[in-house]
Amino acid sequence: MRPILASVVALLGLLTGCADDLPQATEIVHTRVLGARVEVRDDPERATPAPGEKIDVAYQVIFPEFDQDSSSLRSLLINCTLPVRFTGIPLCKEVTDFAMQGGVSLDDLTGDLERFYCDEDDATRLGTLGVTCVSGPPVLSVSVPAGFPDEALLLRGVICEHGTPFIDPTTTALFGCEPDDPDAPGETMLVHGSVPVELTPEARNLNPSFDDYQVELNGRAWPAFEGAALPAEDDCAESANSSDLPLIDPFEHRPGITVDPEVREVFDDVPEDLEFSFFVTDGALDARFVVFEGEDDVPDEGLTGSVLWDAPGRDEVSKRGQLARIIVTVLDRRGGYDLTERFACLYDCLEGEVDAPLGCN
Amino acid sequence: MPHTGRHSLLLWLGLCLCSPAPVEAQEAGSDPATPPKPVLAPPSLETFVEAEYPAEALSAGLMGRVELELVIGADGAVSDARVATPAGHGFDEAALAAGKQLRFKPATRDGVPIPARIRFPYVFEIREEPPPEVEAAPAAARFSGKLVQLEDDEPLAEAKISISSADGLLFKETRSLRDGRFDFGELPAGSYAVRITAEGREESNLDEELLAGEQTETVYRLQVVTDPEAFGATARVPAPPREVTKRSIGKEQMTRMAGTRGDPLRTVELMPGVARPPLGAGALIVRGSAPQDSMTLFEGLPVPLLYHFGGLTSFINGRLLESVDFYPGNFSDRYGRRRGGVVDVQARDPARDRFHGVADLNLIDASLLVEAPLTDSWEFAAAARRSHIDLVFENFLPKDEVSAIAAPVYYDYQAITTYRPSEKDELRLMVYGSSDELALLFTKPTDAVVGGDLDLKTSFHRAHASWSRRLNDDLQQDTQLAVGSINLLLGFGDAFNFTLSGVEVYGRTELVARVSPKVRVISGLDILSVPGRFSYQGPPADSAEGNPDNGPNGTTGSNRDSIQAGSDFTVLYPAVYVETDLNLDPTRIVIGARVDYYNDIEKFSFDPRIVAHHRLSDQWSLKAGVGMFAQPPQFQESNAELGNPDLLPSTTVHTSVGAEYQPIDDLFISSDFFYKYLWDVVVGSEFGGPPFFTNDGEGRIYGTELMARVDPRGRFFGYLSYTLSKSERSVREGPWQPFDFDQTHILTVSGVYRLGKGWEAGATFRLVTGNPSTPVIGSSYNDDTGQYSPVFGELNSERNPTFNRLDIRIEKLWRFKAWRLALYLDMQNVYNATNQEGLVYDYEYRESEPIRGLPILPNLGIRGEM
Repeated sequence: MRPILASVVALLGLLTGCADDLPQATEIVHTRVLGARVEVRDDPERATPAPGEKIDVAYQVIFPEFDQDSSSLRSLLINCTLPVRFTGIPLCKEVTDFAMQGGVSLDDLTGDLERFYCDEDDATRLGTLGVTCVSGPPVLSVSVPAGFPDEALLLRGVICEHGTPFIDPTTTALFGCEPDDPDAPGETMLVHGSVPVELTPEARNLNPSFDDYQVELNGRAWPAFEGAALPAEDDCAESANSSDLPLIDPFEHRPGITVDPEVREVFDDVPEDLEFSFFVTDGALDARFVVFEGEDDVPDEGLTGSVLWDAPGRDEVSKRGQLARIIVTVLDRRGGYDLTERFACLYDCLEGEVDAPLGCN
Repeated sequence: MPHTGRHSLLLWLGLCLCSPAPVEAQEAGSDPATPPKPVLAPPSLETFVEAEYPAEALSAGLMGRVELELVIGADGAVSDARVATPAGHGFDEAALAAGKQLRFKPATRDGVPIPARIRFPYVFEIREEPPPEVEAAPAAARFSGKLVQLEDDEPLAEAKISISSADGLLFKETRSLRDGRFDFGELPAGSYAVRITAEGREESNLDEELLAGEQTETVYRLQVVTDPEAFGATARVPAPPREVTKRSIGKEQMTRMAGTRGDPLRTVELMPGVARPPLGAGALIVRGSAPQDSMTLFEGLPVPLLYHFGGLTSFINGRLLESVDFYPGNFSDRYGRRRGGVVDVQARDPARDRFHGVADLNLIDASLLVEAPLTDSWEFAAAARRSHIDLVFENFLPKDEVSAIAAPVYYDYQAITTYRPSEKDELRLMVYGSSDELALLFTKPTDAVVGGDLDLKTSFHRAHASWSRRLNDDLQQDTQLAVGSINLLLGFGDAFNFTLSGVEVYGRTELVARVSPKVRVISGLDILSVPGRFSYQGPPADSAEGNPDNGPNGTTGSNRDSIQAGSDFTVLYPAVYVETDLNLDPTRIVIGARVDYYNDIEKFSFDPRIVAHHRLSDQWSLKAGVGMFAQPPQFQESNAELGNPDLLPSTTVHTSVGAEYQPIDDLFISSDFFYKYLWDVVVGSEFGGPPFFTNDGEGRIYGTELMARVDPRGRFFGYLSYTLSKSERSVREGPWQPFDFDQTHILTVSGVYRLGKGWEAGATFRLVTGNPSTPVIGSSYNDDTGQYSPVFGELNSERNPTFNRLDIRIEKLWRFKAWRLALYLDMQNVYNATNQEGLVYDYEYRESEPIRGLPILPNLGIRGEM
């Protein structure tokens, strides 16, 4: 009866709208991870390494401000084997196997371990768990051992903004950040995920790519920004053009995506799922997802979908144009991932201070 | 020592109260379509003939009651007579001989004499010699008597009898005692108007002529009121308790308590020892046990889906029930496979007197109940209910986020027929079932995998036969067999999908043998079998208890590992039990044992139990019990694909002691102390991997309960219940931590008052410690799904704020000649208390808001009864 009870709770929550006032996942208001792209070294389109191959895992960290970069980040990642079955955040199979075989609990196993900081040299005390530490962009390299027999790697770790990552086996979170300045701590971003291992050719999976899809704004193609440099965040109207930096009203708009059904990978004779997520740094979206399920028939209008963007209003945008950003990610639900960004300039043609910018005719 | 076959007045009264309906029904049935309706008058007694008291019965001190069925011709003579309810010992023959000599004024239709069939009781009672008159004044008369129930001559206590003299100068009032007797003592001779009122009985108004120097001794038989709370009930003499604590809710209480929406099973939540389920869910949480540790039985057999939509309202029409018996612990070996508590719901017999019907329409559902006798030994009742929230449901949905593919609809039905082929046999056939359906489409989900749709479709349908046979005066056998189907479908997008369909077969036979005046032996066979098929896609099953990941703040659907399983299965749980009931007055001891077999884990369990009651006085009694209660793992825990088929049944030892005090008839006070220890509790394996479930949990529960109950004999009835308890669990010898629904203090005050003139008002107030909760101390981003998973702090280390709520119920009843109309308002959470039932977090578990409990919830309804 617990699922029924849960459904009733969910329904009540829905009807009472109790979560309306909470922050929405689609709004980027602080530094966040928006995914990890796994690329096989020397074959970056592929997301599934074979035993013995090396992969680069690039965590996509998004900052709310335009002028921030990844230099403030330090990361720690362990790689091990994904357990066959788990609940919640998975633990390394090596750890659980060791505990099960030794007949000890996890607390017994980790109770004597002290906190491990990334700037320490003695990583060997973490035993068989591979540990990687990097500064700057969180791109970590991991090798899949030759003869690796299991279906997936498990990656767990933490990305610290203005802090030093550590492992603390005595805590339930397992990872954390020691802030450089305790009075102004940065973000602590725990991450976990799996990397399917290509044990057979049928398990191969390529990363999806936004090069294959058309991102749209209000039904028109919205290409990635190709200029040399983005204009100032509060002075973009003069730089706006009609394609990769459109000038738009400070009202509602519809970012969307259109996919050619034929470009989807086929797995077990079924096209793979494509799950698109939309995020904004300004304004709000009415929904996050556009999902094309592989098992669904392709509708007459093709694979297309959009979300409603409630952009910042007249009072909130600069009189010289406010640069806005939309981030779109895609998951193929088999380990493949991609991310893209689009920019637009919000400008009030009636009250604006720029003379006849393109788009205000 | 004089004796009597009862005075004529008693027979007059009985005749007047019981005969019109059968005559009217019979005549109306013969010409139902003829308007206008003819004026019918019942026969009335002209000449009474006293029955001769059988000599042997008199010398043996035996008393009895014989009910005759008489056919009275158009001439007023008795043309045929037979014994309808025998008493043996020569009473039947004596009554039959006297009854054939009776003379009546015949029944008439539109003034024309017609034949009629009536029931006529003869009561044989040995009466003590009245005390000698003490200097009674010559002009004084004495007036005394007894009130009994018409249907079985059981005494009626606390009925109000008022008399007023013809001149209006004298008015007196008294109440009947426990044995039904009343006595006005000396009165001036003359004519008096007598008015008798008793809870659940038709009011009687009649005249008495008290003669100077004489004592008038009367017996009044009062008829059950013709309302659905009371009509058609078969008087049942409850068997001596086989449990330490049995809390029964009678039919007069079960549909009238505020805060229950008239649902009898909800009334159980007002009892001590029962924790408050969150958000009005239909979970039964008894003495610190998990909901799955307790069970509800309907007529002795388990019910698979008790509540519509997990808690909205129960599947059974409350007006078909006789009683709800609640056993919070130390229950009889008759009940097994559960280590918590038991609720046994008893259906009543259909009406035997005439056709009755009840139609109820409220904001949530509509129901209809009809019942009638088919022959003298065969009756039926049928009820059906359907919700109509689907008509307005979409208006309450946020249309831009969700749409209803199938708006929520539930229905249920019950049909009961009883047949008595002989004096020793009673057969009952019941057909009942329930269905719920809901399908929603989420257009803007917060989790793409859970998004899409929510499908819920559950149903069960069952035929249930019971046969009660009295083999001889000392041996009785009760047998029950139920066969039915169950179908479950629950899906959340791609994240979760569970289907199960099966055939349920339940059987129970119980033999009760009185081997001596002080010893009863009860033995029984109890079988449960469910062959079926299931399919499952979703996260691996995990601990039902102590697992915050299963709560509202748990890992979201797409972040969970997913497995697929499905196969045919057969659950077969046979059991045998035996109990010995030793009546060593004033002490009663029940010793029993039960052996269960569980085919899914291929294990046996053995549950010895002992219960003792000791009566200290008429008011005080003590009680105690100790016993073992085994419970098999749940389906997902022992299923070979989902769990571990090598599990053991978990076991709990129940110990309890208590006292009961009844200072006056209407007031009952009891207190219980209990301690329970649980071992071999099934928990998820430490890392979620094989063998997935182990018996590494234990628990301890202790507390005390206090209950004061005012029975519904006067204008008021109600409960005051308080529970102080602590329930803890430990996993793998870890620290003791609060149980998920541990509620330290549970206070409930509930009462119903009849204001008069058809008005009735009730209120229920609850003050309960908030449930424990596990804080979320962080989260981890899952780059496989783009969602966050919570990181939990110490299990159940925090609590929700104290819960408080006031519910009220107001009803106005209008009585018409042949039917009644009731308008009622059942309002939950009158002052709209914003009780926190938990926390809901944002997408990354940083910020939270309270999950509010049910807001003010009025339900207005109208009910017609005939």
